[in-house]
Amino acid sequence: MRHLLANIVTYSIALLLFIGAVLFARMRSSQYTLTYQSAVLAAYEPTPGGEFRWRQIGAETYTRNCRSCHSADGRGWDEYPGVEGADSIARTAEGRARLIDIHIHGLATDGSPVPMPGMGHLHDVEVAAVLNHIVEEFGTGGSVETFTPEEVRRRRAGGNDSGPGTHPAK
Amino acid sequence: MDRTISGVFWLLLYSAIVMVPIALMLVPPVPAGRAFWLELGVALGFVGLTQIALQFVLIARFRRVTAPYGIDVVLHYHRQIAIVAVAAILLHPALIIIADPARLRLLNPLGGNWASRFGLLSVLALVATILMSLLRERFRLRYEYWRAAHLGLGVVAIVAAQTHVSLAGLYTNTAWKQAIWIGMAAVMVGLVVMLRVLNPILQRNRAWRVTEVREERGDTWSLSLAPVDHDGLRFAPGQFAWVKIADTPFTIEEHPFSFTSSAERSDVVVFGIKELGDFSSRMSRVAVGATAFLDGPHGAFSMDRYQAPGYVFIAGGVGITPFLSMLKTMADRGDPRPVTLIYADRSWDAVAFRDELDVLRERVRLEITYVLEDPPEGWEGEEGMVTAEVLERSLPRDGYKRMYLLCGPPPMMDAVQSALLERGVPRRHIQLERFALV
Ligand SMILES: Cc1cc2nc3c(=O)[nH]c(=O)nc-3n(C[C@H](O)[C@H](O)[C@H](O)COP(=O)(O)OP(=O)(O)OC[C@H]3O[C@@H](n4cnc5c(N)ncnc54)[C@H](O)[C@@H]3O)c2cc1C
Ligand code: HEC
Repeated sequence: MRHLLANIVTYSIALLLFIGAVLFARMRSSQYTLTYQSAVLAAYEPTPGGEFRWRQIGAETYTRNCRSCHSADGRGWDEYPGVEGADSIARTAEGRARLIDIHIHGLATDGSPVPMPGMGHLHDVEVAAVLNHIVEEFGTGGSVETFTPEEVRRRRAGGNDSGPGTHPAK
Repeated sequence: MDRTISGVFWLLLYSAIVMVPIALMLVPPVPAGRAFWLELGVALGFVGLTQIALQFVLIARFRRVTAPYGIDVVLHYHRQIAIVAVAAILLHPALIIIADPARLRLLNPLGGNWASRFGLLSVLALVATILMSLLRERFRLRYEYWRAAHLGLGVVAIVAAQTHVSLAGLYTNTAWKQAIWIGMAAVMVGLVVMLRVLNPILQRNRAWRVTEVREERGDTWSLSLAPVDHDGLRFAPGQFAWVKIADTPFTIEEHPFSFTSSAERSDVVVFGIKELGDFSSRMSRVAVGATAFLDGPHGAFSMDRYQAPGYVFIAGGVGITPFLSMLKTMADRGDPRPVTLIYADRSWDAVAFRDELDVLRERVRLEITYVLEDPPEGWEGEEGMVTAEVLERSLPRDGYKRMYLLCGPPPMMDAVQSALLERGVPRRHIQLERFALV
């Protein structure tokens, strides 16, 4: 009798675990709680012609999405490269387009044994903010033109954007 | 506390803890969501890890937690859920690699990063743990070696898994989340320290002395122990204790045996030990005056737990030991309830405690049917196995709703249990004790 109960508990817990994991994955993959779109937009009220207040969003986006790989000081660790060089890339038009693309589509090159995941689901505001964040926080200094949500939006629309969740570009 | 209430309480708490990692992963700041299969892989890794961590709680012999179920059932569950947990953990890298085959290089210890290396180490340790447990009997691995390796590999698995989680760091992206996970792993390793270091230290003050080693029939020995400068222990008839016979409690060799003495006596406890392997075969060489240590009482196989107007005890071989204790306790208590004992063994000379049972027959309303596989000339009792026919002839017809307690070799218990169910005995009136924990 007691052994029977133990078996029932085993099956129930196993079921609970797998259902929990599947629900979690569904929630996460459908961006249920993730980009905090409303929070992002509430913090950023685009005023026509007004300046882009990206600092707080940029820092938060970095903590949430980048820090685990590129580390708190932006220098990376182990297989994950640092992002200190972003400011020099951001000085040319191609470089800026590339930086935006890396975020939307991800990046897998021979230079690194692990890929950077695509983050196409990030809001334009978040992408622009986090780019400004790494350029200013980790860059070597010197002025770089601020990334704006508008620039990211144009790149998304114009580039061969295949939508969120695309595989890392080769 | 009432047993059912505390049983339900611990179970609910357990189910809640099992789900904590998933809840924790959803508490902001949350990293950006990713593809379904990838996130599923990650979630399975986390719930698998929590499950492995809880395995340490299950073996820690917390009497308060295990008492509502019986530690044997808790260990039975430990064994089964381990397979579920390892399946979840194996799916973790599998799904992550399927989500992006470029990650295959992480499986190469030289190609990955430190996070992947620790993950790999943890998975290998877990797989080794499971394989050793499943194949222990087939490869005749010595029980003590198996146990030491099992514990060691378990600790390696959880420490490596925790390091993997901390280094991968995606979902431990705040200091307090890190702290919770690291804290959990630390507590689990602490439990092992408690079980293997702290408990023996406490046992040191509760030593026992061997007062008698008596040979019984059928290669069985009665080992009597008296407390040294403490008040002994109280157990329920049918329970067991882990016994160490050594000068110090820090020995890894420790075996579970059922008490055979009356639960109404605390000045001395007796165990009935059958020679089945290296430890039990050393009984003849145990000296009176030797030191012993006990961890107990444990177990839920007791008539005190299953109250009924009458009992049927069905024993095979050394499985008689818990019943001996129950019968002696009934005699001491003047318990008037009727008991039918069906006692199966190889031969008449192997029936270990039949003289004692004869004496007990005078003090308890006890009817005994012996079932001998290999009966002597002129035997008129039952022979062969405990079959449905034997049950038909020997079970009482008194119409009481009796409780059926079974203890013996597994094939016998299985056969008898199905025969009883077929006779219409309700499942909740059948209780089993398995002399195998692992
Ligand atoms: C709840 C319970 C109550 C028991 N009561 C009795 C009893 O009253 N009388 C009796 O003779 N036997 C009893 N046993 C069985 C007894 O524990 C084993 O026979 C004994 O441990 C064998 O040890 P060994 O070194 O002599 O044999 P080994 O040759 O080392 O082992 C033989 C087999 O016994 C099992 N075993 C060995 N060591 C342990 C251990 N430390 N813990 C659990 N299993 C082990 C293993 O499956 C092993 O393969 C009981 C077992 C359990 C689980
Ligand atoms: C799962 C780990 C991971 C996460 C999370 C991650 N990256 Fe990356 N990132 C990488 C890897 C790996 C590379 C290098 C890929 C390559 O070269 O193949 C990289 C490359 C980059 C580069 C290009 C560096 C260069 O000099 O070419 C930038 C910029 C960058 N990441 C920024 C970010 C930002 C901003 C975020 C957060 C929105 C982020 N990354 C999140 C792993 C990650």
